[in-house]
Amino acid sequence: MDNNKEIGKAFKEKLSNLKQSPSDLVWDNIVEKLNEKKKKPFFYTLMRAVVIVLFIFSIVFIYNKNSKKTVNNISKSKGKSPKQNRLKEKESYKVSDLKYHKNITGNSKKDISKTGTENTDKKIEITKSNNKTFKLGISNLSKNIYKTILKNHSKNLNIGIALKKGRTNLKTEYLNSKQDHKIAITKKALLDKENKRRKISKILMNNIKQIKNNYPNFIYAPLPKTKNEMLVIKENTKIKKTNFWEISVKGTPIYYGSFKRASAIDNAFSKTNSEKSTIAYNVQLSIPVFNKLKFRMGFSKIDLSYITNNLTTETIYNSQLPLVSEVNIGVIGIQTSGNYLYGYNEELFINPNTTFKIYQNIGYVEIPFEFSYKILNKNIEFNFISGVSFLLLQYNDILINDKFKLTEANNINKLTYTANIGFAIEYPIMKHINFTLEPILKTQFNTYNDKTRYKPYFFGLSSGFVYKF
Amino acid sequence: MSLEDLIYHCKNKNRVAQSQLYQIYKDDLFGICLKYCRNTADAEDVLQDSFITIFTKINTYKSNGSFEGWMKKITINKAIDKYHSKKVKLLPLIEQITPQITIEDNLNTYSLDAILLLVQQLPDKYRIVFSLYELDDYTHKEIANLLNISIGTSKSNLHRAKKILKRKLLDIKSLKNHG
Repeated sequence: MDNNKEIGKAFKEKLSNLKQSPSDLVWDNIVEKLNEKKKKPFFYTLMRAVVIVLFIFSIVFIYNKNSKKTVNNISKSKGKSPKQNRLKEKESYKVSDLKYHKNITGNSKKDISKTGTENTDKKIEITKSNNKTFKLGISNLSKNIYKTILKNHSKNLNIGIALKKGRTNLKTEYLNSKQDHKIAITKKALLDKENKRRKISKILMNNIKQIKNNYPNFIYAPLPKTKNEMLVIKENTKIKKTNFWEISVKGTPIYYGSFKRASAIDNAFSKTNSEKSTIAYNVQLSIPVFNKLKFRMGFSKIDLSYITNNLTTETIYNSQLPLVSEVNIGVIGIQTSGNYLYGYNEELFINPNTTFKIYQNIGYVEIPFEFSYKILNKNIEFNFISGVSFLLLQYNDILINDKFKLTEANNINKLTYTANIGFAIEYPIMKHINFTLEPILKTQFNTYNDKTRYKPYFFGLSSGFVYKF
Repeated sequence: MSLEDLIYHCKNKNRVAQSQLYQIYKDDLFGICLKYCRNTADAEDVLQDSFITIFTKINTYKSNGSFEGWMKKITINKAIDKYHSKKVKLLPLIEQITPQITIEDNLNTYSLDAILLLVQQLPDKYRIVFSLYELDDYTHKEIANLLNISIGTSKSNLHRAKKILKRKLLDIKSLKNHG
């Protein structure tokens, strides 16, 4: 065997007879993994779906809430006189529906006559029962809006809805009368009438739209009738500004964990005890979107340190770390000789009976994009947070005993993302400055570019100050 | 049950058929894994990943070539994946000048386990090239493509692997003589 070719052949010949049985655990693991394959995507899809659904829910909830506020202030009192409404003493003002009274006579002249004195087929009834609700209802209105409404209240308030209803009623009555009483009403007459209504409706709807655009916080409310009432309005109308731009500065101790018991460095270390400590510093800008919804973005510096304790030379040898069992072939790096572990750096020399630690230090810059929805807005503000973050890898080092830099991990993606969910509690300490406390869970999705079992997440408790301007 | 029937039932995710297929081929494939991995634990990991892929991708097997060959290829690819998935970069080695070595002994004087251990103790990047080239007849071009290295690196790694093996055999021989 005096040349390289022969040694290759000799090994091939010898190893061709190699047959060994794996341990029984392998099949058990295969079965487990095959079953897991069905569940795993569901879990991760579910996590993502939850975040998306919560986000959509937040927006829909806010939208609906705003719409309900407006609609609830308009109640309909069909077919009832103002007297009846007053007697009922409801706890809010009610602007009655505009009722169209039509009496289509069965004569041959084919005209439509109307009951009542209103030549526009509209009758607005405003009732008052409770002064408290009255004040509340107008809390967001300015004096100017009221002036406008006073001038045009018979046209503006609720007319769009009423006219729509009126059109429907008219059509229905027309059809009924045609069948039941066989009254000949010409199509032209009806169309003329309908066109007139449409014109009025269009003008009034535009008017309402304009008011809505100019005054987004407008709430339909009863109209003041006397000067005294106007004075009450003036006194009680204090527009509380809640939508501020905000800048926050926070520090965050983070618990860095994995959904599965594993080591981020090497599977050989999965059974050893590990410590995880993390610290992040964060600057963020919040921009108001709706009344209670804010969009937040900024950046954070995150330093992770994953420490694997109680390692022995034997554990290292069984790992995938760049160790070479050969002592005499001039390896740069760390080596095992017998049970000793040492490196070309003389500071590192570990006896077989001693234990040591491996540190994995990773640094990210985080760019979060989050939405914050205000759930409670009293002295203490309580916000629901959800969104995503992008993490840009800055550095990663693997060290022995935090002194000897061994190498860098090569399985970490340079750009990863997280799904974030949590709460923010704010307490005012000065006029424009709040103290904030934010417990937030961040789940990382593509941290590693291989099939490691390590599925990391952060749980951070940020605290800091928010400046509102 | 014939192999075709077994494959058919495996395609239908029949767990009993999968178990039978595993029992038939586990020893052969585990032998391949052992030659490519540093130790038994890694070899079992590779075997596990290989069978999971075999069972999940068996629908793509088209009966054109040999089924054993298809499974062997998957196993070798998984071993290469394992090599690529190492968490840390290997630091460069400085080649030591070794004297011309002559080993007169035939490998038959060594046990199979001892020979396997010699291969397993090779540094990863040398072992993977040695196993692919010498034990499974891959060309340097194919190895270069699989491992994302140059053909020159493949040749050089093979050369170094053989050099280490020779040195180890010499050490064992000298120990025997002294013993």
